[in-house]
Amino acid sequence: MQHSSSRQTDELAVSTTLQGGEYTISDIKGSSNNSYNYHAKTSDGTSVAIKEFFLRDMCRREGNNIQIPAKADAKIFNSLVKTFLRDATFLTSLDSEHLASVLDLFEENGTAYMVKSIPEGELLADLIVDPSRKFTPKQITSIANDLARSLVEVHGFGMLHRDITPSNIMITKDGSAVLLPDFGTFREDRSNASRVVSSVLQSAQHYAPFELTFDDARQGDGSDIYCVAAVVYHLITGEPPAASLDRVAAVAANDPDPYVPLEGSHKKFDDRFLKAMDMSMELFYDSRVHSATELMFIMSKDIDFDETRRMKRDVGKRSTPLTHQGIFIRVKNLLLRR
Amino acid sequence: MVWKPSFMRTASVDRLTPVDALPIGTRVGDEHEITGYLGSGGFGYTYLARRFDGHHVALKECFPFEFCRRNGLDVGLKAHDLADDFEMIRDGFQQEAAILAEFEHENIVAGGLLITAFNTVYIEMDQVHGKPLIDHLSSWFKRPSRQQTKQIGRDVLDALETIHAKGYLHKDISPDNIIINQQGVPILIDFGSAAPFGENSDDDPMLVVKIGYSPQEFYRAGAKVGQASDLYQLAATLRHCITGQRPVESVARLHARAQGRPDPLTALGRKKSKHSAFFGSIDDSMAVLIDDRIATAKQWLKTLKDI
Repeated sequence: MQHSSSRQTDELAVSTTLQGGEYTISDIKGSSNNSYNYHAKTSDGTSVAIKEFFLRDMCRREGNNIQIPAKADAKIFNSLVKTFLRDATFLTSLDSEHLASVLDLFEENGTAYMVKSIPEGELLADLIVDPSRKFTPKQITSIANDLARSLVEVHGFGMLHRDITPSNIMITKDGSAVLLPDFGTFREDRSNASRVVSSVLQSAQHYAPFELTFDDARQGDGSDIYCVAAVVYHLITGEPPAASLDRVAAVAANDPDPYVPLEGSHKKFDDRFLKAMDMSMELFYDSRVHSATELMFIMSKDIDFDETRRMKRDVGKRSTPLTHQGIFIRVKNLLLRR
Repeated sequence: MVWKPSFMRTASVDRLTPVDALPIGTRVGDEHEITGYLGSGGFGYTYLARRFDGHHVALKECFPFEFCRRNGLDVGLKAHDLADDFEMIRDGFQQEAAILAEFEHENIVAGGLLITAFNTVYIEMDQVHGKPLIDHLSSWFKRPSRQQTKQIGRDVLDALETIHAKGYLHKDISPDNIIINQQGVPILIDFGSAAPFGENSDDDPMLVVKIGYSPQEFYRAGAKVGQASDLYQLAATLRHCITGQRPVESVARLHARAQGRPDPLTALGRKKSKHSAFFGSIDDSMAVLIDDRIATAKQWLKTLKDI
């Protein structure tokens, strides 16, 4: 029935070549809702990770080519391939130690491929469930700073990550955090009537603010900041924070917010740092820390916390965000000093 | 015609192209032969089949496009790490068949025989001649009248009363899961989300929601659900019949309420009309919080009979 009768799944087979022989697939790693992931060897023998854009609910494999049975889907798929390429192009121009880098980008077999270096380290998702791996307050603070710094870069390009969870964060050997570029751009189309929230997504709901999962209209830098703070919250307390939807439901029913604040209850941490996390996990977007630079600013030890609150209040009052620029410059200086 | 909206991303009509469907003439199990193709949804294809006693029945195949491909006639996996997902959906199919087999009701499709073949399962059901309610809602002149809408409400409530009495929630009442047969009688066809309620009900591994129809508690693992959850979905369906539009998503209403904003869903019963009692009961069953709704199917049915 199939062009290649030996094929048992839709993944590309081991030893398939791409880009005219430049990459040879050496290992099939796994699938996500928008990709198949492989390891491959380049022509000079380097190992790389390759992400193939593949939407399982639309695409089939015919030979090595991607086939889309429904005409209407084909249109949607093509525009999503363009989005994928656009986002990945941004990533190739980023060169940060806290973002996994993109090495190559090409179209083949009717879809797009992103070649990444294989980040060395362990996924935070694996470490977080391992009881023998304890993070010290110093390590946690430094992870928070690394993540905030990668957000400064991503947001600086006008992009949102939208899918920051422990499965998208790599901890390298020296303990620093690297954000993996699996951007949540390809979220399901909201025009459809039906959808499944699997158990995997349910656990992701603990890290995502309400507006990322349900209310597309009001997303912004603060949405990613919530996710980062939620991951850090998990590291501090050993449990993920209450899911944002449960928090919304409680507040709607006039019950107390099930979120347990960090401030004042973790003696080993600087209270300023804990308060910064609490402020980053404000339930409603408008009351939340609204930029990565602000997050870095209020986490920092060098700065008087109450002063930043005053400054933030002043920003709200003024029509031109002069103070905001002030914050930005000060944080930049801080970064340079490090 | 059995019809289901597509699974996650898009509901394109030409997804109905049966690329991976079983060919006509295929024998499924010992007793059925595929004679035609009825439709497809996210969880698979529905075929017309002849049983060897001569009866024509509908066969629903478990073939979730997101996880499966066809290897010969067998169902295979799209990627090697999807076995658990497929198994979970296949288990759900078996549960659906078992639940469906428990009912004998004028407004519930008869069936529930489970057939195992080609590495997947099939549910045998009566073929219902008619069109899904959603097809009647696409333009105002096809929409059911107020009286017809009320009758649909009464009939489905009657079915829900039976379902709840057996200890189940349907959990997926929506205009695409109700077929209006040739006599104009609404028939519930899909029990894929049905589950026992009461104790131990919150360990459902999969939350399936339908935007606009599912109450907010369906989005939250471990949240309290009950008969009033099904009533919300029926109310949303009836509201769609009246307004011609899919209602605002329940979680958006929840969010607005938490922020102290007005409910983005305007009440139907505000305007004075001869239907305002009926409309008011729809509003009452669509309250955001489960405890604010009409509590049981019996109670709502009683109100509707008085109107």
